[in-house]
Amino acid sequence: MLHLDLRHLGEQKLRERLPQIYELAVEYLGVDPATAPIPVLPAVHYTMGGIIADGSTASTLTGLYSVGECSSVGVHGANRLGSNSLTELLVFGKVAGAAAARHAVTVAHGNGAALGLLAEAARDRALAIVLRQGGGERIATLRREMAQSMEDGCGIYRSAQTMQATCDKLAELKQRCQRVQVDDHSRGWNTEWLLAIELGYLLDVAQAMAHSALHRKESRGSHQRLDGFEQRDDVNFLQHSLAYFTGDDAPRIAYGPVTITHSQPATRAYGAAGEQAEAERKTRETSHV
Amino acid sequence: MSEPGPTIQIEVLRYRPEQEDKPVWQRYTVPFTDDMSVLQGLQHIKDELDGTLSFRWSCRMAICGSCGMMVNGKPELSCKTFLRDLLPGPVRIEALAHFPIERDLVVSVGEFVKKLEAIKPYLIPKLPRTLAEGEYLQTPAQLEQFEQYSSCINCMLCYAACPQFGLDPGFAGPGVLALLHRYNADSRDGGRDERMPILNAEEGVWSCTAVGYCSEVCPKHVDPANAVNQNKVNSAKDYFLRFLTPKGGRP
Repeated sequence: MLHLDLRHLGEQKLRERLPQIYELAVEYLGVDPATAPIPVLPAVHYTMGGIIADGSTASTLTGLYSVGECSSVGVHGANRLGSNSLTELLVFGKVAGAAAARHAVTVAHGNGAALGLLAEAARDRALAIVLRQGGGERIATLRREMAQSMEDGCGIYRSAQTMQATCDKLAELKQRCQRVQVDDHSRGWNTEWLLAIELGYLLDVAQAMAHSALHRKESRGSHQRLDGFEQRDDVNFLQHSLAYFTGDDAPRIAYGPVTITHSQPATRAYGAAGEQAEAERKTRETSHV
Repeated sequence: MSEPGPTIQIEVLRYRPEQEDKPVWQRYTVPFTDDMSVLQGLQHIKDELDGTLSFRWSCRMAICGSCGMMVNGKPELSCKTFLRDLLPGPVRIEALAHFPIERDLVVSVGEFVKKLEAIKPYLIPKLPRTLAEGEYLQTPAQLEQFEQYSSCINCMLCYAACPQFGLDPGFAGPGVLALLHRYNADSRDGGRDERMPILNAEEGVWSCTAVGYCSEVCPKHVDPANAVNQNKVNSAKDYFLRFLTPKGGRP
């Protein structure tokens, strides 16, 4: 078990600057960070990527705007750091609301009959899940197998072999997901039905992540490979991975341009190497002035 | 064969309107580990034993405020209440008191949200401000005036604890009144005039009989009882100043 030692900061500073961490440690673990190290382990924090959106939060689907943790508006690069979500919170929520409202007042009504047919098809797909008798697959089992496979293949260190195994596993789970059987066949507050629908989406997103990771033959940001692609490759991969939904098959992976305005990609170094890189950066900036 | 591990009994008050006329208790046996929250116990039931059990949850870390329920008769966040503290069991779980049950542990939040919206829980600037004028500055002392009250996560535990709200569902209630105070007490805010009528009304602060249980159950240490009782003073001042100036002495 790894421990995070914050004792040198003292209780007063910890309570003032890290109140949430302090409270979690005390109330969930019974550990007082002022007097004892906190046991920690790696966990998934955030999805680096999401529904691709332009600066006004418009997605590639007309009329759909995305903002927040589901969105990839292009400001975060290959490693979204903690608290950078503030940009989503303070900037893009308002932008999305205004853009969607503008769109809603200017757009002409669509073809009602055609939309009605689409809605009926969507309803029937959802109803098929809650009405299904037999099948025998349990939501929690599939979800757990998916999470374990993502941890194994798309965790902190990655290789083609482990990522391929994950892609194969996800394809299997997508098949088994067709046989999910719920206990609850009611219509009011049926949260198991919701979980079953969500499981399908979870698998779609997992596939987008695993396949784009497998195709990316380099290391960048949070994507760290150990199988001969340990370095960043700006010639071939300074690009956004784009995963296109293809129905039941694996997603199609393509690439789109990255817009860099200020922060050039650089090596993230720690310790002595980090200090040296920082000194070089400062020298460079001074010489440009 | 391996020894079966320790277990704990969890009893849940079920209500499925499509199936039952009135709530019924149902008992489950759940594997017990020392680090398990009540919420994890419920999730084990839903995942492995009975997918028909409905309850709300999201963050698992006392930030979203959606997993409030009665645990052994006390309003608690189920993510922040641990089975190890409830041994030997059985642990009895019911929907939050004083709210209409929609199903199982899911209560209706519509009326609460209406009250919340009514107090305008956002900063209303005193004067329009341009970007060029920069950000609002605030001293640590000004921050301290409201910071504690800004920790509210709208979990409604204080409503389940409040006997007055139990008697009169029209009462604005501790959580909403604490949030009203959070904005009124903020030096950047100019919305006091719009909020005072809610505070002054029969169903505002004056419905509170100062029981104080709301503050005891608050998982974020907001102390709504303190906010409400400070505002009895503010409301009284507002009332008497009304005889002197039309807006209760407010600028």
